Amino acid sequence: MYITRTMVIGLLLLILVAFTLADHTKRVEPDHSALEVWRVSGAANACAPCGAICDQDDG
Amino acid sequence: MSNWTGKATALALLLCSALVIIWLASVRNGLLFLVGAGIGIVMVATGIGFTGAWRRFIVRREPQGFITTLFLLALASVVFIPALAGIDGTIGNLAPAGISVLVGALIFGIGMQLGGGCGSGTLIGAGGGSLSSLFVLLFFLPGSLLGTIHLPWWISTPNLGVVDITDYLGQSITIIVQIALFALVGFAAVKISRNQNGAVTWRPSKELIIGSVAVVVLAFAALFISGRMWSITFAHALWAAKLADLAGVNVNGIEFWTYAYPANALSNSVLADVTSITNMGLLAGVAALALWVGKNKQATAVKVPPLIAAALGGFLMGYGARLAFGCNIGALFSGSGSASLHAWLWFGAAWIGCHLGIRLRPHFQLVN
Repeated sequence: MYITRTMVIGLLLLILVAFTLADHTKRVEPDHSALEVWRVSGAANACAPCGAICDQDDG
Repeated sequence: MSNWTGKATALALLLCSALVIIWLASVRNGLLFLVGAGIGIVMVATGIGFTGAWRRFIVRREPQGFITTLFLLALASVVFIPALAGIDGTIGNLAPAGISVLVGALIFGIGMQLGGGCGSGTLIGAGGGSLSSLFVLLFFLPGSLLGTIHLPWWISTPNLGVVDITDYLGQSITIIVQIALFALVGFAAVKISRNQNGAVTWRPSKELIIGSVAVVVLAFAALFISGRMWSITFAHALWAAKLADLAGVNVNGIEFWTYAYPANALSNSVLADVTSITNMGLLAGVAALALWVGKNKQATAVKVPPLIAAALGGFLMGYGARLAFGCNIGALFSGSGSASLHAWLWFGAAWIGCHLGIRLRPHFQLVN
């Protein structure tokens, strides 16, 4: 059986878009003020990616 | 699909995605998406990568690709160590140096050879339409989720804590020492290659040098925009946790996802997570490039043993990356660029893992 790269790219993008929309819809309130709050919290990324380090540092 | 249609689709994919992210998230994340796309395009166009380059040296003693990765890492030290100290609001990839990193990187090294790509390589492969890389990516997720479940225990194993080398040597000496160590490894690689093959091509080509510089420039842009060093595999764990959450699993009961940063990422939209956005950009950039040049029309035969290796490799990389606090990019490139000792442990352990993975590849009909 053969599969083209177009099929793989299409499948990948489909999965990615479906997942992103499902997650975004679940997490973000549709009203403007909530979106602004989310933007602020979304920008608060000043921490190491493992997360555990920050918690240890903070006690 | 005619060529102009492919090019139009490529441009539309990138621009529309960026605009949607700006609309739903922020201008910052839209820019970050484009930076990720740029990194993917540069890496594909210039042929920069870790997995194949390391394997070509280990198996055939061809050092050029391996030397290129060392050049890339040395360049990262020169740029990022001063940048992290000089730019307010930026944070390096510092992590505890200990058993967790050693075991995780060893597992990751095995996985990256079985999967035929590391964290970035998998995204590049999948974005370019490789079925094998798509398998790696899909199995990377459950491996990552299992890693997050086990990570609190692994962190409790013996370690030196977070060691920022600049605390002991200062910035300038740290940069010099790290460059000297990368050069020493490179010198040894060339000597070993010459002993086996005689005269060898070891100098990175013009394309590889330009590509390395471009990758570092774009990674610097990512740091400047997001305040964080370039990472990849936290997003895989996050995507897995979000998918599990969507499926009804109580992810909030897992200790890792109660830590401040992961909990924040889990509770917000995936479009708010800078690592996810950069990864999406990388995937989209490579996909756009494939459409642009018409590479997407290529067909490949589906063979089961290599797909099993891809699944196994992806799972191992996912698990290993959590234990080791990242992949070649997050732990090694950004870790050494942050002067973190754990990056050097990662390098050594992943190197050993690669040797083991290369031995396993023929069992899955993979050519070394």
